Amino acid sequence: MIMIVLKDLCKIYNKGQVNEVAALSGINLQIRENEVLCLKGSSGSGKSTLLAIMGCVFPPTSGVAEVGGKKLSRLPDRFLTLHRRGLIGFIFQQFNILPQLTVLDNVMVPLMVLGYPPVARRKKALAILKRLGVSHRADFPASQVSGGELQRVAIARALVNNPAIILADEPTAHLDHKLSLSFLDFMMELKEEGKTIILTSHDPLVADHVCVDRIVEMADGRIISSCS
Amino acid sequence: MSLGFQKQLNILDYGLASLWRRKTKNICVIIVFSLVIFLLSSFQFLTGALTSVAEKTLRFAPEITVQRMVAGRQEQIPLAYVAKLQNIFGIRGVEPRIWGYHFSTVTGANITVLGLTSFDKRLEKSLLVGRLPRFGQAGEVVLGQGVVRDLNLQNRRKFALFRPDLSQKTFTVVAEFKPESELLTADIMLMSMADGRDFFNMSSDFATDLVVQVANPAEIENIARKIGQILADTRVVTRPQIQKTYSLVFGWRSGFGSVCLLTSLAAFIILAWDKASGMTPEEKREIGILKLLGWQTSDVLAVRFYEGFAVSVLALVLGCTLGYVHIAFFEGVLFRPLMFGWSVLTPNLQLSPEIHLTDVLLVTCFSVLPYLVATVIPAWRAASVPPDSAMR
Repeated sequence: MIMIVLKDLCKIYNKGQVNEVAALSGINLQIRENEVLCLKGSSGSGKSTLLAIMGCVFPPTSGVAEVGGKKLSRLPDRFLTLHRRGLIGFIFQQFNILPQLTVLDNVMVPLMVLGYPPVARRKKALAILKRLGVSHRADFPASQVSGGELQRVAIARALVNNPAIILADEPTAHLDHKLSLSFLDFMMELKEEGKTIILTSHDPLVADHVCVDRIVEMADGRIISSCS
Repeated sequence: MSLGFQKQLNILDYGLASLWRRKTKNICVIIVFSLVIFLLSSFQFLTGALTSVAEKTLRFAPEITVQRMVAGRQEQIPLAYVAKLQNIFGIRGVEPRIWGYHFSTVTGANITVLGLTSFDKRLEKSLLVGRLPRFGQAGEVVLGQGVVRDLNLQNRRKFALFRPDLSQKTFTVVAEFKPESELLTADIMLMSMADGRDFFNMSSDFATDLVVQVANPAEIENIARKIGQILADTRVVTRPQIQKTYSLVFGWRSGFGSVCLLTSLAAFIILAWDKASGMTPEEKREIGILKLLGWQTSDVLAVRFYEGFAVSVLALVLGCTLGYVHIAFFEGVLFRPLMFGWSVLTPNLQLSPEIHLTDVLLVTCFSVLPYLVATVIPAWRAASVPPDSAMR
């Protein structure tokens, strides 16, 4: 089953203004369910913009983007959010953890708008933190845990609502070799559970890992190569 | 429990936790906001309390007062005018009255001297501590609290004042007006008509004005019109007109003060708006992250709404409570100069504020609503943009 379909996709920032930038042009890509895809490319090649479109953050300027069977270009912001909420889990380069909240509260944030009562969301969040080995940090302020633990908190938050698609933007950029390998091993586990995973990375360690099914290389907003 | 309701509870939970995390800043906002609301509500409650005191006291004001006017100024009215009015149907009685001012050179205060030919017995029960003067006993008077203070009588019951010809007239205090009526009675010295005439050295054929009692209060305006037609050189003042005048005086003073206070409230709201629109990068980032994690623009707005609502309602309750305490226990000390400062003998009355729903609604409309708008609209602007900035 095809999870993501992109056809003649273009994204232009600040269209019609002096600072107009064509971030993506003529992107054609299909991603199967349970596939792990690595987007490679130098900085400014359009990887993050492509990831944002696949993550229903904003619609493309033109072309077709179909994620989880829904065409994004026709969805207003409200429905993009609803679609993203149920389907996608994000892992960010800077982790994007809310430092003023505790580790547990950070993981519970996506569940709040899904209408989970306090006890149920705490139970669910603690279970995922336990799986990632950071449950002992649950009541710590997020600003007081280490980088490796913070990333596991970010992964826990991305997985807590059991999304079908995981999007990770430069997930190993701030991790050492050992932690990067540990992260990729965990992605392997998720793949075995049937998740579709899209990673962007400069890191050869990511592209070479056994969990990755396909590598797509980008430059200047275009796909220049794709290999399995 | 429905999913939507639970979601709102969760958002409320997040909003209150968010307030608590920034407690120092929010406590400061609540203190300043409460202070502004306290000033505004004090004014409202004070106006209400004063109007209420005036209404209660003016119940004993004459239904119709007839004053003679010469060249646009009030002159003494001949007692012969009494007979001209007695034939008007609906008039229960007409009494001449002495009404004048005695200037105290010691304190620089004006004492209002009121001489009557009869006293309303109800006065004794509701407005006086003591008894009414007896007509056979010369020099018996009832004093307002301001006069008692001004003359520094303390426990003395006898005192003397100078007549216009500098001879002395001795008075005996038989009663004092109750403190709660001080707003209107502070400067009054009530005596018999004969004593009033004697004190002012007035001719026995004249009075200051005539007091008319009517049989049916609904006919006051009609009878006043008839009096005006019969006595063309007089000004006829009715009790509703006096009540309206007091109401306007307090309304004008309150309005003036409210405008000043609303300016400070507006300044606070502008400050809140400025603070909220100049959201810190951390706050914008938080909104971006929440949106990336599936929170809708409306969810982010709900957080800001609950935060703003909690702050403003707490400030409203605190401010109004302080306002009530200020009026009930501190006699509106901050606003006395503005609201009471109309006589040299400043009243010193005990006010009991009356809380009217309209007053509370008015204060709410001028505090809670603008604060909510000032905090929610900037958040709406920040939350309406795509959250991709949080991805970088």
